[in-house]
Amino acid sequence: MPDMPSARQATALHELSVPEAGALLRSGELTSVELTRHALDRIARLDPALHAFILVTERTALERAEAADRDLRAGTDRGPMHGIPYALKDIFDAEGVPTTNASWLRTGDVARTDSTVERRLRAGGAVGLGKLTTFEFAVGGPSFDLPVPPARNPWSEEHVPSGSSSGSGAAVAAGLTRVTIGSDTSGSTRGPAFHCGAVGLKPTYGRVSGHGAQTLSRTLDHFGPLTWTVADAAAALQVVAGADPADPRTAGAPVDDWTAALGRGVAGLRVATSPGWYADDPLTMPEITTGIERALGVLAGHGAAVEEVTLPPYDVFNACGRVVFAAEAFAVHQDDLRRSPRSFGRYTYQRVMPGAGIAAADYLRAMDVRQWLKRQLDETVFDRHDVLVTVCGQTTAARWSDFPENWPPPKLANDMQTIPFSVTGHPALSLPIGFAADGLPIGLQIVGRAHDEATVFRVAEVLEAELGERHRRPRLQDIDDAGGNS
Amino acid sequence: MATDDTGAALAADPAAAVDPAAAVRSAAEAEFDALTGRLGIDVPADLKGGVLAGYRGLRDMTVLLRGVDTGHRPGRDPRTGNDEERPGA
Repeated sequence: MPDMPSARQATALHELSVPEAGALLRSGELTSVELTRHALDRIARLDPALHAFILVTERTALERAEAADRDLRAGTDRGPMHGIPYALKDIFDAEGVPTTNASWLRTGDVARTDSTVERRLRAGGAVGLGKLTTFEFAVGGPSFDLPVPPARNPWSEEHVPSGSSSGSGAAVAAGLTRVTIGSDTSGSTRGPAFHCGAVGLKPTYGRVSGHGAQTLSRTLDHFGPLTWTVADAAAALQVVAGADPADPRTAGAPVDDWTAALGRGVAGLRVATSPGWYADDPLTMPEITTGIERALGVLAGHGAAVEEVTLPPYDVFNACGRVVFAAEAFAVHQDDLRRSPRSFGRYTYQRVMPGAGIAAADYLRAMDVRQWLKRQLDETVFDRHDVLVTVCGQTTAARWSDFPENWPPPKLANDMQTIPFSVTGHPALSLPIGFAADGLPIGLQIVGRAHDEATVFRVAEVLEAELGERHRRPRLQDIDDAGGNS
Repeated sequence: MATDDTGAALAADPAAAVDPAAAVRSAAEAEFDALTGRLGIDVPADLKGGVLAGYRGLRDMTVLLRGVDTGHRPGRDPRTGNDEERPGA
């Protein structure tokens, strides 16, 4: 960690990690109000072109920041997110503000209570900045027929930020906030993290409560942080994780001290890798394959043992996840699909409606295969290894022009290999590892044993330090300040 | 998944008689129409192409999944629903 006073003087506030900002808040060298005003100012200047936010709650943000400062002055420390700004994907309820799901069907829905995620962040002294753009109902696509425009990719106006946590990816990459909370059903946090050059964590299934969040697919939905750094993600997870009586999916597993797990290195860890899923696929960009190889070299150089494994076929994971996803998503939306088909965005309707055709026998068959895949992954990888390092996306972000009038787009616009770990429920983190020749971010995926996010963070932190290029931000031409980018 | 409705649609579709891919498309469409009809859902015509493309993909995936040998015999496994609720547990 850099020297605190000089970090404060030399670094724009949005470049302070959550632990760095937290240390300055606790030492009295920085206030939450300063941090929050800085974020609100960047949002006001940059978001009109990015569309990352659906709603900015400026007044309540400043009130919460003032309260956080008062608490710290009084000696009350509410934890690693105390005084830190964050934003929620607009599928999470926050009392008194709308949860739109970016849908015409929900534009008037004002939440009467907090989601569990929001309640924990509020109790943890964190400062909510507002609600972030999402694909409609966390499914859909990059659409122009919704009540809000789609978020833009800060790295390139010609490319999409991916989704469905599209506003989260855009906001974090542009330095509007360090921390967002998204959802990930088949890759909706890891995808935008990958394509926007941010860190996206899908925790273990049941690690974070979905109470008060829009359901997409109840056995595939995961909730977790999309942040700028690994340390930011660990801090955010620390606050939002844990069993919740209001969500029976949440596991009784203990909430570890993830921030303490950082800095322990990877010496002695056993790392599996699975190039069979992507290395020979002509769709995979060469920079991604070589980037993963470089990352494995880094881990070996830090004392980890790297071994290649052969996983069950990717297509079986994908089919299993798609069938479960389709059946469950249709079940959630079937009444509106019947009554009000024109109220959905075109892509959303076309993605959810096919689930009407899944027979109960096929759904149950997919669930049987799912259990088998989980056992296979545990036996193939996690009985002998601590993590799996594999591909996340196979290409850099798709262009807006890759998306046709009707779903589905061609595979190059939908290239993520994230769904296998939604199927099995293992924790999986999307980590940036630099840039491709086209100037867009690339990354990889680190998968851990169930409930072992700590080891995932350890591996991610080592790779981030060597490959993450966290000093490099998108150049937001004409709208950013001269000192904000590099 | 095949139904009598599907068979009737195939016989009535001249394209299906000469093009196997068209036959598969027709079968899938007839099948999907029958299923959504039972649910009381009327898919708008301008949205149907994307919906059917998705349905055909799912149909192929269910076939793939039926061919996976998991060692599980339906009706002979006392597994509880909780296993499916907590895939990461």
